[in-house]
Amino acid sequence: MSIFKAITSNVAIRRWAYNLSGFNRYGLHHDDVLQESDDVKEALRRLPAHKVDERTFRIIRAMQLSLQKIELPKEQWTKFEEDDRYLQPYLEEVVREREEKEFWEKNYY
Amino acid sequence: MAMSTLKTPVLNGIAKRCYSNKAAALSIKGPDVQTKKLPNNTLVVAVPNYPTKIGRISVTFLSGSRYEDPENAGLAQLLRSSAGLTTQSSTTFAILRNLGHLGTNYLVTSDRETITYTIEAHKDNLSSGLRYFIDSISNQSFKPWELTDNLKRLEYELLTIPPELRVLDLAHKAAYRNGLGNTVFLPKYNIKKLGSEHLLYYAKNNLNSNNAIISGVGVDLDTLALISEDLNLPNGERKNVSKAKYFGGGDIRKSKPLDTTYLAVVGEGVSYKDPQSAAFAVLEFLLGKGSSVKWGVGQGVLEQSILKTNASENFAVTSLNYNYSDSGLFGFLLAYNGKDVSKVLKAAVQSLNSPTITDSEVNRAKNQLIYSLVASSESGAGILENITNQAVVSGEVVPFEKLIAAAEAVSVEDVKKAASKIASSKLSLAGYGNVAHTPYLDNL
Repeated sequence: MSIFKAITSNVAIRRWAYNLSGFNRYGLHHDDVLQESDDVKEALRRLPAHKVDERTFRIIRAMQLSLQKIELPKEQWTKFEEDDRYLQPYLEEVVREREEKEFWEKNYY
Repeated sequence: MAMSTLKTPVLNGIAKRCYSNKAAALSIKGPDVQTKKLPNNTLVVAVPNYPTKIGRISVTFLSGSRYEDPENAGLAQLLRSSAGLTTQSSTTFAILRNLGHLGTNYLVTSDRETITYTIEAHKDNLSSGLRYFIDSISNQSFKPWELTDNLKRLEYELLTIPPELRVLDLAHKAAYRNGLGNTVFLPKYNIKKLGSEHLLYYAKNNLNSNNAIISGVGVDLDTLALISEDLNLPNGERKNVSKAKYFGGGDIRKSKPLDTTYLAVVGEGVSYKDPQSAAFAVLEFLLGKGSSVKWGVGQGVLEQSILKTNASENFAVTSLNYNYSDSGLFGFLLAYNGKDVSKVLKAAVQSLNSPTITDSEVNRAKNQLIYSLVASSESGAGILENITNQAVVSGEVVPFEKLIAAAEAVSVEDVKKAASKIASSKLSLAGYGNVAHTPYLDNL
Protein backbone atom coordinates (compact mmCIF):
# COMPACT_ATOMS: atom_id res chain seq x y z
CA MET A 1 0.00 0.00 0.00
CA SER A 2 2.79 2.37 0.87
CA ILE A 3 4.50 1.67 -2.47
CA PHE A 4 1.24 2.45 -4.25
CA LYS A 5 0.94 5.66 -2.26
CA ALA A 6 4.51 6.62 -3.05
CA ILE A 7 3.86 6.11 -6.74
CA THR A 8 0.57 7.99 -6.80
CA SER A 9 1.93 10.93 -4.88
CA ASN A 10 4.95 11.33 -7.11
CA VAL A 11 4.32 14.36 -9.31
CA ALA A 12 6.41 13.13 -12.22
CA ILE A 13 4.55 9.83 -12.36
CA ARG A 14 1.23 11.56 -12.05
CA ARG A 15 2.08 13.91 -14.89
CA TRP A 16 3.11 10.94 -17.03
CA ALA A 17 -0.16 9.15 -16.29
CA TYR A 18 -2.11 12.30 -16.94
CA ASN A 19 -0.59 12.77 -20.36
CA LEU A 20 -1.05 9.08 -21.12
CA SER A 21 -4.80 9.22 -20.46
CA GLY A 22 -5.23 11.39 -23.53
CA PHE A 23 -8.27 13.56 -22.77
CA ASN A 24 -6.01 16.58 -22.43
CA ARG A 25 -5.27 16.39 -26.16
CA TYR A 26 -8.87 17.48 -26.75
CA GLY A 27 -8.50 20.40 -24.32
CA LEU A 28 -10.60 18.70 -21.65
CA HIS A 29 -10.01 18.95 -17.91
CA HIS A 30 -10.00 16.05 -15.50
CA ASP A 31 -13.42 16.95 -14.10
CA ASP A 32 -14.95 17.20 -17.58
CA VAL A 33 -14.68 13.45 -18.07
CA LEU A 34 -16.14 12.23 -14.78
CA GLN A 35 -18.87 9.61 -14.95
CA GLU A 36 -22.10 11.54 -14.50
CA SER A 37 -23.27 9.80 -11.36
CA ASP A 38 -25.97 11.33 -9.16
CA ASP A 39 -23.27 12.92 -7.03
CA VAL A 40 -21.62 14.54 -10.03
CA LYS A 41 -24.97 15.75 -11.34
CA GLU A 42 -25.74 17.38 -8.00
CA ALA A 43 -22.26 18.93 -7.84
CA LEU A 44 -22.72 20.33 -11.35
CA ARG A 45 -26.00 21.87 -10.28
CA ARG A 46 -24.17 23.74 -7.52
CA LEU A 47 -21.32 24.88 -9.73
CA PRO A 48 -21.39 28.61 -10.55
CA ALA A 49 -22.87 29.31 -13.98
CA HIS A 50 -19.70 30.59 -15.65
CA LYS A 51 -17.79 27.42 -14.72
CA VAL A 52 -20.59 25.30 -16.16
CA ASP A 53 -20.41 27.33 -19.38
CA GLU A 54 -16.65 26.80 -19.66
CA ARG A 55 -17.13 23.09 -19.09
CA THR A 56 -19.83 22.86 -21.73
CA PHE A 57 -17.64 24.71 -24.21
CA ARG A 58 -14.72 22.30 -23.65
CA ILE A 59 -16.96 19.26 -24.02
CA ILE A 60 -18.57 20.51 -27.24
CA ARG A 61 -15.14 21.33 -28.67
CA ALA A 62 -13.89 17.86 -27.77
CA MET A 63 -16.92 16.24 -29.42
CA GLN A 64 -16.26 18.24 -32.58
CA LEU A 65 -12.57 17.29 -32.59
CA SER A 66 -13.40 13.65 -32.00
CA LEU A 67 -15.91 13.72 -34.86
CA GLN A 68 -13.32 15.12 -37.19
CA LYS A 69 -10.74 12.61 -35.94
CA ILE A 70 -8.30 15.38 -35.08
CA GLU A 71 -6.65 16.77 -31.95
CA LEU A 72 -5.89 20.29 -30.80
CA PRO A 73 -2.45 21.70 -31.69
CA LYS A 74 -0.03 20.60 -29.02
CA GLU A 75 0.36 24.03 -27.40
CA GLN A 76 -3.37 24.04 -26.65
CA TRP A 77 -3.38 20.69 -24.84
CA THR A 78 -4.38 20.95 -21.18
CA LYS A 79 -1.23 20.82 -19.08
CA PHE A 80 -1.16 18.76 -15.90
CA GLU A 81 -0.38 21.89 -13.86
CA GLU A 82 -3.22 23.85 -15.42
CA ASP A 83 -5.95 21.32 -14.67
CA ASP A 84 -7.87 22.96 -11.82
CA ARG A 85 -10.22 20.12 -10.81
CA TYR A 86 -12.96 22.69 -10.40
CA LEU A 87 -15.64 20.20 -9.35
CA GLN A 88 -13.82 18.53 -6.47
CA PRO A 89 -14.84 20.85 -3.58
CA TYR A 90 -18.48 20.61 -4.61
CA LEU A 91 -18.26 16.88 -5.18
CA GLU A 92 -16.67 16.28 -1.79
CA GLU A 93 -19.46 18.22 -0.14
CA VAL A 94 -22.15 16.30 -1.99
CA VAL A 95 -20.57 12.97 -1.07
CA ARG A 96 -20.26 14.04 2.56
CA GLU A 97 -23.92 15.01 2.66
CA ARG A 98 -24.98 11.72 1.07
CA GLU A 99 -22.91 9.71 3.52
CA GLU A 100 -24.39 11.64 6.40
CA LYS A 101 -27.89 10.78 5.17
CA GLU A 102 -26.96 7.11 4.74
CA PHE A 103 -25.44 7.01 8.21
CA TRP A 104 -28.58 8.53 9.68
CA GLU A 105 -30.89 6.15 7.86
CA LYS A 106 -28.82 3.16 8.94
CA ASN A 107 -28.71 4.13 12.60
CA TYR A 108 -31.97 5.86 13.37
CA TYR A 109 -34.63 3.98 11.42
CA MET B 1 -74.89 23.72 33.68
CA ALA B 2 -72.44 26.08 35.26
CA MET B 3 -74.90 28.92 34.96
CA SER B 4 -77.62 27.05 36.78
CA THR B 5 -75.33 26.37 39.73
CA LEU B 6 -74.50 30.03 39.90
CA LYS B 7 -78.20 30.78 40.31
CA THR B 8 -78.27 29.34 43.83
CA PRO B 9 -78.20 32.37 46.13
CA VAL B 10 -75.09 31.48 48.15
CA LEU B 11 -72.88 30.78 45.16
CA ASN B 12 -74.25 33.78 43.39
CA GLY B 13 -73.05 35.99 46.20
CA ILE B 14 -69.57 34.52 46.11
CA ALA B 15 -69.39 34.85 42.38
CA LYS B 16 -70.44 38.48 42.51
CA ARG B 17 -67.84 39.22 45.13
CA CYS B 18 -65.14 37.50 43.04
CA TYR B 19 -66.06 39.30 39.84
CA SER B 20 -66.02 42.68 41.53
CA ASN B 21 -62.83 42.13 43.46
CA LYS B 22 -60.37 44.62 42.07
CA ALA B 23 -57.68 43.74 44.59
CA ALA B 24 -57.58 40.28 43.03
CA ALA B 25 -56.22 41.70 39.82
CA LEU B 26 -53.55 43.67 41.66
CA SER B 27 -52.40 40.72 43.73
CA ILE B 28 -51.42 38.73 40.65
CA LYS B 29 -47.80 37.79 41.12
CA GLY B 30 -46.02 37.46 37.81
CA PRO B 31 -42.97 35.24 37.40
CA ASP B 32 -39.60 36.45 38.66
CA VAL B 33 -37.60 38.14 35.87
CA GLN B 34 -33.81 38.50 35.99
CA THR B 35 -31.77 40.64 33.63
CA LYS B 36 -28.06 41.08 33.15
CA LYS B 37 -25.83 42.94 30.75
CA LEU B 38 -22.92 40.72 29.70
CA PRO B 39 -19.40 42.16 29.17
CA ASN B 40 -19.87 41.75 25.40
CA ASN B 41 -22.89 44.07 25.58
CA THR B 42 -25.45 41.33 25.07
CA LEU B 43 -28.57 41.75 27.19
CA VAL B 44 -29.67 38.56 28.90
CA VAL B 45 -33.17 38.11 30.31
CA ALA B 46 -34.29 35.00 32.13
CA VAL B 47 -37.37 33.69 33.91
CA PRO B 48 -35.72 30.72 35.62
CA ASN B 49 -38.37 29.65 38.09
CA TYR B 50 -41.32 29.23 35.79
CA PRO B 51 -43.07 25.93 36.56
CA THR B 52 -42.57 24.15 33.26
CA LYS B 53 -40.76 21.14 31.85
CA ILE B 54 -40.10 22.98 28.60
CA GLY B 55 -37.07 25.21 28.27
CA ARG B 56 -37.44 28.06 25.82
CA ILE B 57 -34.58 30.19 24.56
CA SER B 58 -34.71 33.12 22.17
CA VAL B 59 -31.78 34.85 20.54
CA THR B 60 -32.93 38.20 19.19
CA PHE B 61 -31.02 40.64 17.02
CA LEU B 62 -31.94 44.25 16.37
CA SER B 63 -31.81 43.67 12.64
CA GLY B 64 -35.35 43.83 11.36
CA SER B 65 -36.50 45.54 8.22
CA ARG B 66 -35.90 49.06 9.56
CA TYR B 67 -32.15 48.45 9.39
CA GLU B 68 -32.20 47.45 5.72
CA ASP B 69 -30.71 49.46 2.92
CA PRO B 70 -33.55 50.86 0.80
CA GLU B 71 -32.12 49.02 -2.22
CA ASN B 72 -32.18 45.68 -0.46
CA ALA B 73 -35.79 45.80 0.71
CA GLY B 74 -36.94 42.46 2.05
CA LEU B 75 -33.51 41.23 3.05
CA ALA B 76 -34.65 40.66 6.63
CA GLN B 77 -37.39 38.33 5.44
CA LEU B 78 -34.89 36.48 3.28
CA LEU B 79 -32.62 36.12 6.30
CA ARG B 80 -35.48 34.69 8.32
CA SER B 81 -36.48 32.34 5.55
CA SER B 82 -32.88 31.11 5.23
CA ALA B 83 -32.63 29.99 8.84
CA GLY B 84 -31.66 26.36 9.21
CA LEU B 85 -29.83 26.10 5.90
CA THR B 86 -26.40 24.51 5.76
CA THR B 87 -23.88 26.27 7.97
CA GLN B 88 -20.12 26.17 8.02
CA SER B 89 -20.13 23.07 10.20
CA SER B 90 -23.48 21.29 9.86
CA THR B 91 -25.71 20.54 6.92
CA THR B 92 -29.36 21.52 6.84
CA PHE B 93 -30.16 17.81 6.97
CA ALA B 94 -28.20 17.45 10.22
CA ILE B 95 -29.82 20.51 11.77
CA LEU B 96 -33.37 19.47 10.95
CA ARG B 97 -33.01 15.77 11.73
CA ASN B 98 -31.12 16.22 14.98
CA LEU B 99 -33.44 18.92 16.27
CA GLY B 100 -36.42 16.81 15.22
CA HIS B 101 -34.95 13.72 16.82
CA LEU B 102 -34.63 15.56 20.12
CA GLY B 103 -38.24 16.67 19.90
CA THR B 104 -37.42 20.36 19.77
CA ASN B 105 -39.24 23.21 18.16
CA TYR B 106 -37.10 25.63 16.21
CA LEU B 107 -38.74 28.78 14.94
CA VAL B 108 -37.62 32.09 13.57
CA THR B 109 -39.73 35.22 13.58
CA SER B 110 -38.98 38.71 12.40
CA ASP B 111 -40.59 42.11 12.52
CA ARG B 112 -39.66 45.71 11.83
CA GLU B 113 -37.10 45.88 14.61
CA THR B 114 -35.87 42.34 15.18
CA ILE B 115 -35.20 38.86 14.01
CA THR B 116 -35.67 36.19 16.69
CA TYR B 117 -34.40 32.62 16.70
CA THR B 118 -36.28 30.49 19.24
CA ILE B 119 -35.78 26.94 20.39
CA GLU B 120 -38.21 25.04 22.61
CA ALA B 121 -37.44 21.64 24.07
CA HIS B 122 -37.81 19.44 27.10
CA LYS B 123 -35.19 20.62 29.56
CA ASP B 124 -33.34 17.28 29.37
CA ASN B 125 -32.90 17.62 25.61
CA LEU B 126 -32.32 21.33 25.41
CA SER B 127 -28.54 21.29 25.84
CA SER B 128 -27.99 18.71 23.08
CA GLY B 129 -30.22 20.67 20.73
CA LEU B 130 -28.39 23.90 21.46
CA ARG B 131 -25.38 22.85 19.41
CA TYR B 132 -27.37 22.96 16.19
CA PHE B 133 -29.37 25.99 17.30
CA ILE B 134 -26.23 28.01 17.97
CA ASP B 135 -24.60 26.78 14.79
CA SER B 136 -27.53 27.85 12.67
CA ILE B 137 -27.39 31.38 14.08
CA SER B 138 -23.74 32.34 14.16
CA ASN B 139 -22.22 30.15 11.44
CA GLN B 140 -24.61 30.70 8.57
CA SER B 141 -23.02 30.27 5.16
CA PHE B 142 -25.96 30.84 2.74
CA LYS B 143 -25.02 28.41 -0.04
CA PRO B 144 -26.32 29.87 -3.32
CA TRP B 145 -27.92 26.62 -4.51
CA GLU B 146 -29.80 26.20 -1.24
CA LEU B 147 -31.11 29.74 -1.51
CA THR B 148 -32.32 28.94 -5.04
CA ASP B 149 -33.98 25.76 -3.77
CA ASN B 150 -35.64 27.83 -1.07
CA LEU B 151 -37.22 30.26 -3.55
CA LYS B 152 -40.35 28.16 -4.05
CA ARG B 153 -41.05 28.18 -0.34
CA LEU B 154 -40.37 31.89 -0.17
CA GLU B 155 -42.82 32.55 -3.00
CA TYR B 156 -45.41 30.42 -1.24
CA GLU B 157 -44.81 32.40 1.95
CA LEU B 158 -45.38 35.65 0.05
CA LEU B 159 -48.57 34.37 -1.57
CA THR B 160 -50.09 33.41 1.76
CA ILE B 161 -49.64 36.80 3.42
CA PRO B 162 -53.14 37.85 4.42
CA PRO B 163 -54.42 41.19 3.04
CA GLU B 164 -54.78 42.70 6.51
CA LEU B 165 -51.03 42.34 7.01
CA ARG B 166 -50.37 43.82 3.59
CA VAL B 167 -52.44 46.87 4.45
CA LEU B 168 -50.64 47.31 7.77
CA ASP B 169 -47.37 47.22 5.88
CA LEU B 170 -48.64 49.95 3.55
CA ALA B 171 -49.81 51.98 6.55
CA HIS B 172 -46.26 51.94 7.95
CA LYS B 173 -44.97 53.06 4.58
CA ALA B 174 -47.48 55.92 4.51
CA ALA B 175 -46.63 56.97 8.05
CA TYR B 176 -42.84 56.67 8.16
CA ARG B 177 -41.70 56.55 4.50
CA ASN B 178 -38.35 54.92 5.40
CA GLY B 179 -36.81 53.21 8.42
CA LEU B 180 -39.87 51.84 10.20
CA GLY B 181 -41.69 52.35 6.90
CA ASN B 182 -39.56 49.71 5.17
CA THR B 183 -41.65 46.80 4.06
CA VAL B 184 -41.31 43.61 6.09
CA PHE B 185 -42.18 41.55 3.02
CA LEU B 186 -39.71 40.72 0.29
CA PRO B 187 -40.86 42.66 -2.81
CA LYS B 188 -41.19 40.64 -6.02
CA TYR B 189 -38.56 42.68 -7.84
CA ASN B 190 -35.96 41.77 -5.25
CA ILE B 191 -36.54 38.00 -5.13
CA LYS B 192 -34.01 37.23 -7.83
CA LYS B 193 -31.68 40.07 -6.98
CA LEU B 194 -30.89 39.29 -3.36
CA GLY B 195 -28.54 36.39 -2.88
CA SER B 196 -25.77 34.89 -0.89
CA GLU B 197 -23.48 37.95 -0.83
CA HIS B 198 -26.22 40.29 0.33
CA LEU B 199 -27.14 37.92 3.15
CA LEU B 200 -23.53 37.35 4.24
CA TYR B 201 -22.93 41.09 4.37
CA TYR B 202 -26.16 41.77 6.23
CA ALA B 203 -25.55 38.96 8.72
CA LYS B 204 -21.98 40.09 9.32
CA ASN B 205 -23.08 43.65 10.03
CA ASN B 206 -26.18 42.92 12.04
CA LEU B 207 -25.86 39.62 13.84
CA ASN B 208 -23.31 40.78 16.40
CA SER B 209 -23.13 40.76 20.16
CA ASN B 210 -23.97 44.45 20.54
CA ASN B 211 -27.30 43.92 18.85
CA ALA B 212 -28.14 40.66 20.59
CA ILE B 213 -30.67 39.93 23.30
CA ILE B 214 -30.82 36.43 24.73
CA SER B 215 -33.95 35.54 26.65
CA GLY B 216 -35.16 32.33 28.19
CA VAL B 217 -38.03 30.83 30.16
CA GLY B 218 -37.30 27.84 32.38
CA VAL B 219 -33.57 28.46 31.89
CA ASP B 220 -31.30 30.34 34.29
CA LEU B 221 -29.09 33.35 33.60
CA ASP B 222 -25.83 31.38 33.69
CA THR B 223 -26.98 29.04 30.94
CA LEU B 224 -27.94 32.00 28.78
CA ALA B 225 -24.55 33.61 29.43
CA LEU B 226 -22.92 30.34 28.30
CA ILE B 227 -24.98 30.43 25.13
CA SER B 228 -23.69 33.92 24.48
CA GLU B 229 -20.15 32.56 24.81
CA ASP B 230 -20.87 29.65 22.47
CA LEU B 231 -22.46 31.92 19.91
CA ASN B 232 -19.15 33.75 19.81
CA LEU B 233 -20.67 36.61 17.88
CA PRO B 234 -18.46 39.29 16.37
CA ASN B 235 -18.29 42.46 18.41
CA GLY B 236 -19.60 44.80 15.74
CA GLU B 237 -20.67 48.33 16.33
CA ARG B 238 -24.20 49.15 17.27
CA LYS B 239 -25.72 50.81 14.26
CA ASN B 240 -26.47 54.49 14.58
CA VAL B 241 -29.86 54.28 13.01
CA SER B 242 -31.65 57.58 12.68
CA LYS B 243 -34.59 58.12 14.98
CA ALA B 244 -37.89 57.16 13.41
CA LYS B 245 -39.74 60.22 12.16
CA TYR B 246 -43.49 60.20 11.73
CA PHE B 247 -44.48 62.04 8.56
CA GLY B 248 -48.18 61.34 8.24
CA GLY B 249 -50.47 62.54 5.52
CA GLY B 250 -49.46 59.60 3.35
CA ASP B 251 -52.16 57.92 1.29
CA ILE B 252 -51.10 54.60 -0.21
CA ARG B 253 -53.51 52.21 -1.85
CA LYS B 254 -53.12 49.09 -3.90
CA SER B 255 -55.90 47.58 -5.98
CA LYS B 256 -56.15 43.82 -5.79
CA PRO B 257 -58.80 41.46 -7.12
CA LEU B 258 -60.52 41.04 -3.77
CA ASP B 259 -64.14 41.69 -2.82
CA THR B 260 -63.23 43.29 0.44
CA THR B 261 -61.68 46.69 1.10
CA TYR B 262 -58.94 46.64 3.70
CA LEU B 263 -58.17 50.04 5.16
CA ALA B 264 -55.76 51.14 7.84
CA VAL B 265 -55.82 54.64 9.28
CA VAL B 266 -53.06 55.59 11.70
CA GLY B 267 -51.87 58.66 13.53
CA GLU B 268 -48.75 59.17 15.61
CA GLY B 269 -48.74 57.07 18.76
CA VAL B 270 -46.09 56.76 21.45
CA SER B 271 -42.97 54.70 21.94
CA TYR B 272 -42.98 51.87 24.45
CA LYS B 273 -40.98 53.79 27.04
CA ASP B 274 -43.23 56.84 26.86
CA PRO B 275 -45.13 57.49 30.14
CA GLN B 276 -48.33 57.75 28.10
CA SER B 277 -48.02 54.23 26.68
CA ALA B 278 -50.32 52.73 29.35
CA ALA B 279 -53.02 55.30 28.52
CA PHE B 280 -52.66 54.44 24.83
CA ALA B 281 -53.03 50.75 25.62
CA VAL B 282 -56.27 51.49 27.48
CA LEU B 283 -57.47 53.69 24.62
CA GLU B 284 -56.74 50.82 22.24
CA PHE B 285 -59.08 48.53 24.15
CA LEU B 286 -61.60 51.33 24.56
CA LEU B 287 -61.81 51.69 20.79
CA GLY B 288 -62.17 47.94 20.56
CA LYS B 289 -59.97 44.98 19.74
CA GLY B 290 -62.66 43.00 17.95
CA SER B 291 -65.20 40.77 19.60
CA SER B 292 -64.32 38.68 22.61
CA VAL B 293 -67.36 36.52 21.87
CA LYS B 294 -67.24 34.22 18.88
CA TRP B 295 -69.21 35.57 15.89
CA GLY B 296 -70.22 38.57 17.98
CA VAL B 297 -69.85 42.25 17.21
CA GLY B 298 -67.36 43.92 19.54
CA GLN B 299 -68.36 46.42 22.20
CA GLY B 300 -65.64 48.87 21.31
CA VAL B 301 -66.40 52.47 20.44
CA LEU B 302 -65.35 51.90 16.83
CA GLU B 303 -67.73 49.00 16.23
CA GLN B 304 -70.63 50.76 17.88
CA SER B 305 -70.13 53.95 15.89
CA ILE B 306 -70.00 52.02 12.61
CA LEU B 307 -73.14 50.09 13.51
CA LYS B 308 -74.92 53.43 14.05
CA THR B 309 -74.29 54.44 10.40
CA ASN B 310 -76.79 51.76 9.29
CA ALA B 311 -74.31 50.55 6.68
CA SER B 312 -74.10 46.84 6.00
CA GLU B 313 -72.86 44.65 8.79
CA ASN B 314 -70.19 43.17 6.52
CA PHE B 315 -67.35 44.80 8.38
CA ALA B 316 -64.64 44.05 10.86
CA VAL B 317 -62.70 46.67 12.73
CA THR B 318 -59.96 46.63 15.30
CA SER B 319 -57.85 49.34 16.82
CA LEU B 320 -54.09 49.35 16.32
CA ASN B 321 -51.42 50.36 18.75
CA TYR B 322 -47.81 49.87 17.77
CA ASN B 323 -45.15 50.82 20.30
CA TYR B 324 -41.67 50.77 18.80
CA SER B 325 -38.46 51.72 20.56
CA ASP B 326 -38.55 55.36 19.46
CA SER B 327 -41.96 55.95 17.93
CA GLY B 328 -45.42 54.50 17.66
CA LEU B 329 -48.56 54.27 15.57
CA PHE B 330 -52.14 54.38 16.74
CA GLY B 331 -55.23 53.92 14.63
CA PHE B 332 -57.54 51.27 13.32
CA LEU B 333 -57.79 48.54 10.74
CA LEU B 334 -61.08 48.24 8.89
CA ALA B 335 -62.31 45.59 6.50
CA TYR B 336 -65.52 46.34 4.66
CA ASN B 337 -67.43 44.70 1.86
CA GLY B 338 -69.69 47.17 0.08
CA LYS B 339 -69.89 50.35 -1.95
CA ASP B 340 -70.76 52.74 0.87
CA VAL B 341 -67.29 52.34 2.38
CA SER B 342 -66.87 56.10 2.69
CA LYS B 343 -69.77 56.30 5.20
CA VAL B 344 -68.17 53.60 7.33
CA LEU B 345 -64.67 55.01 7.08
CA LYS B 346 -65.88 58.49 8.02
CA ALA B 347 -67.65 57.14 11.09
CA ALA B 348 -64.55 55.24 12.15
CA VAL B 349 -62.23 58.22 11.65
CA GLN B 350 -64.73 60.38 13.53
CA SER B 351 -64.58 58.06 16.55
CA LEU B 352 -60.79 57.82 16.30
CA ASN B 353 -60.56 61.61 16.48
CA SER B 354 -63.14 62.10 19.22
CA PRO B 355 -64.07 58.84 20.93
CA THR B 356 -66.71 58.81 23.66
CA ILE B 357 -64.68 58.37 26.82
CA THR B 358 -66.81 57.60 29.84
CA ASP B 359 -65.96 56.02 33.19
CA SER B 360 -67.65 52.77 32.36
CA GLU B 361 -65.98 52.49 28.94
CA VAL B 362 -62.56 53.18 30.47
CA ASN B 363 -63.23 50.56 33.12
CA ARG B 364 -64.23 48.02 30.51
CA ALA B 365 -61.10 48.78 28.49
CA LYS B 366 -58.89 48.47 31.56
CA ASN B 367 -60.39 45.10 32.45
CA GLN B 368 -59.83 43.82 28.93
CA LEU B 369 -56.26 45.12 28.93
CA ILE B 370 -55.48 43.49 32.28
CA TYR B 371 -57.06 40.26 31.09
CA SER B 372 -54.85 40.23 28.00
CA LEU B 373 -51.75 40.90 30.11
CA VAL B 374 -52.61 38.14 32.57
CA ALA B 375 -53.51 35.75 29.77
CA SER B 376 -50.13 36.26 28.11
CA SER B 377 -48.38 35.55 31.41
CA GLU B 378 -50.11 32.16 31.61
CA SER B 379 -47.95 30.37 29.05
CA GLY B 380 -44.20 30.02 28.78
CA ALA B 381 -44.31 31.06 25.14
CA GLY B 382 -46.35 34.15 26.03
CA ILE B 383 -43.90 35.18 28.74
CA LEU B 384 -40.92 34.65 26.47
CA GLU B 385 -42.50 36.80 23.79
CA ASN B 386 -43.39 39.50 26.30
CA ILE B 387 -39.96 39.76 27.97
CA THR B 388 -38.16 39.61 24.63
CA ASN B 389 -40.31 42.36 23.20
CA GLN B 390 -39.85 44.54 26.26
CA ALA B 391 -36.08 44.06 26.16
CA VAL B 392 -36.04 45.03 22.49
CA VAL B 393 -38.08 48.21 22.70
CA SER B 394 -36.94 49.53 26.08
CA GLY B 395 -33.72 47.69 26.99
CA GLU B 396 -35.21 46.58 30.30
CA VAL B 397 -37.95 44.26 31.48
CA VAL B 398 -40.78 45.36 33.74
CA PRO B 399 -42.41 42.48 35.65
CA PHE B 400 -46.04 41.64 34.97
CA GLU B 401 -47.38 42.96 38.28
CA LYS B 402 -45.96 46.39 37.50
CA LEU B 403 -47.45 46.34 34.01
CA ILE B 404 -50.82 45.51 35.51
CA ALA B 405 -50.41 48.21 38.15
CA ALA B 406 -49.60 50.71 35.41
CA ALA B 407 -52.77 49.73 33.56
CA GLU B 408 -54.77 50.05 36.81
CA ALA B 409 -53.41 53.53 37.41
CA VAL B 410 -54.66 54.97 34.12
CA SER B 411 -57.33 57.59 34.74
CA VAL B 412 -60.10 58.85 32.47
CA GLU B 413 -58.14 62.09 32.06
CA ASP B 414 -55.07 60.17 30.83
CA VAL B 415 -57.14 58.40 28.19
CA LYS B 416 -58.69 61.71 27.10
CA LYS B 417 -55.20 63.21 26.76
CA ALA B 418 -54.08 60.26 24.63
CA ALA B 419 -57.16 60.63 22.42
CA SER B 420 -56.54 64.33 21.94
CA LYS B 421 -52.97 63.58 20.93
CA ILE B 422 -54.24 61.32 18.15
CA ALA B 423 -56.80 63.91 17.09
CA SER B 424 -54.07 66.53 16.71
CA SER B 425 -51.72 64.31 14.70
CA LYS B 426 -51.76 64.04 10.93
CA LEU B 427 -53.40 60.79 9.88
CA SER B 428 -52.10 58.37 7.26
CA LEU B 429 -54.24 56.04 5.19
CA ALA B 430 -53.48 52.77 3.47
CA GLY B 431 -55.84 50.70 1.36
CA TYR B 432 -55.60 47.20 -0.08
CA GLY B 433 -58.00 45.10 -2.09
CA ASN B 434 -61.13 46.62 -3.59
CA VAL B 435 -60.26 50.30 -3.12
CA ALA B 436 -62.44 51.67 -5.95
CA HIS B 437 -64.84 53.49 -3.62
CA THR B 438 -62.40 54.49 -0.91
CA PRO B 439 -62.38 58.23 -0.22
CA TYR B 440 -59.09 60.10 -0.01
CA LEU B 441 -57.60 61.38 3.22
CA ASP B 442 -58.45 65.04 2.60
CA ASN B 443 -62.11 64.13 2.05
CA LEU B 444 -62.48 62.58 5.47
